[in-house]
Amino acid sequence: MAPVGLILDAIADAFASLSDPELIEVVALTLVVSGVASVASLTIGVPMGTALGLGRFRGRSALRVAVDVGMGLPPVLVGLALLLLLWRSGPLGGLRLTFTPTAMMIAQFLLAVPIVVGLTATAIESLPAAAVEQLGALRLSLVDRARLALLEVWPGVVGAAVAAFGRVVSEVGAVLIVGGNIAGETRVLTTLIVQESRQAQFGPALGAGLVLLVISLVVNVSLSRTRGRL
Amino acid sequence: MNGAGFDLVRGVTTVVFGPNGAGKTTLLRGLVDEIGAVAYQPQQPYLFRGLLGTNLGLGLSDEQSGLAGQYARRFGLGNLLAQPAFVASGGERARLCLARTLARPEDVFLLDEPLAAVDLAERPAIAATIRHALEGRTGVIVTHELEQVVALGDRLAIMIGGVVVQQGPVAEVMAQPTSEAVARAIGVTNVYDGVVVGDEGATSTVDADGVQLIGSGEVRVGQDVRVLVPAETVTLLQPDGSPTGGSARNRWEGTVVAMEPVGRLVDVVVDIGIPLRAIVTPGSVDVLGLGVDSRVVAAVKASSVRIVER
Repeated sequence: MAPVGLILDAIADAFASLSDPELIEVVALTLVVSGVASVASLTIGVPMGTALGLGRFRGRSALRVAVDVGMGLPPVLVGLALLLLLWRSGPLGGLRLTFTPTAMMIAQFLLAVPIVVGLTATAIESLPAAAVEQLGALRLSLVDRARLALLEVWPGVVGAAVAAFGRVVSEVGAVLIVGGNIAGETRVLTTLIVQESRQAQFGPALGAGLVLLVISLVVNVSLSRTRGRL
Repeated sequence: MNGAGFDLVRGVTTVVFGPNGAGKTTLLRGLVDEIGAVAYQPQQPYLFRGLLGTNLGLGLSDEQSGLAGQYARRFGLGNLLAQPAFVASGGERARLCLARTLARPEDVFLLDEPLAAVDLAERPAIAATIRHALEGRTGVIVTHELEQVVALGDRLAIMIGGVVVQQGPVAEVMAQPTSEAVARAIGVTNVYDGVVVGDEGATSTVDADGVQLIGSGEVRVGQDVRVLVPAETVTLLQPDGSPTGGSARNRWEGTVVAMEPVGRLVDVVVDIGIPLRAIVTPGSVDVLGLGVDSRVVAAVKASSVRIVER
């Protein structure tokens, strides 16, 4: 009976912890950090992915491989590399960004960009041959051609956005390394879960996990609903 | 000129004809790459997300969109333009893409099977619009249907196995294949330009350089037309009409001006006021005692003679 009791207690504590003002602060920072990182990665990544998917240029396949590798980059490695760059005595030390939300945004942006680029390129590459030939025959400007192609693979682009946000909001390694998990400053939902678990505070950890799940669900559902719109 | 040996003749429409897999589409794509500034309609019409009307204007200026709209209405799409693209049928897609392509400003038009997805009944009117739109411009139209060759082309290029094996004016190529491969691909067909002078309901009568030809086709009196008389449908008879020509409505008396064996058969050219080729067996040649300068009657059933709007 005892093991089940532990879990039931944790669940009860989890719901109790939801009204904790500290948790609300953490949720807000999580949404800002992952939201900014996702939007930035889409802004840069969608045009890059479109160029990669449509373009026929030298070095394209090498770039494609690099992007594919980037999609699976270990977050801790990205965090470590960024920390080295931002470290006080490192090349970008002058920016004083270590253990700040900005550093966390940069880390998540770096993790999300290859996903957005890769999935957008894949979506564009999946256009039927007839669409690609017709696209060429319309003799559009480069920008118009890209816009038309993107609109055509819109559900794929939405999928890229969903995947990018899902990746960064649930990621812990990179934000832990460059953010430091400082309470009230750089603590987000995932690092909060790590912190509470370490101290055997399973209730608050589970509560944070629930919130994370709900955020993922809401973002997923609302983005997915736009797939059918165009 | 290009790898396939195709001559691009400016200011006229050339129809590229050949069996499936002959390399016609590849030739057209090659021309697109080579020339660059072309109005190109690929074989597979593709519509993008959005309205049919939006698709119609893609890549066109406002003025060109207006012209595309006129073509679209002529093609029976006027009521559909506010509809989303996914509701369009295959034929509607083809017509919409064609309307857009015909409104393009380029001087060279490359159309890949523009009528393939279009209903048979609608083809003559659409073919007439294509002809009108391409007047004075350079056109290359790929097709594997002989009827379209006659309806659309000034020139004809026959493609077999990735190369152009014969090219020239339509009537010349169709009546005088230079090789057995060409003859097998298109048959030997007499092609005459003429004017419809009589409408008897099921059949029409055409005057071609003073010779009356009776055949069938959706045409009206006074219309400029092309008449197709396949050489193997021509029966040659003695000058007195024996053996009888049966039900053949077309009977022309003439003089044999040339005879040449083609494979196991004999290609006979009869001057009936216009040159008429007939493909007959060596047996017939013997029975009739045919030779150059022989007088003969050439007979063809009206149902074998096709009249195409031109």
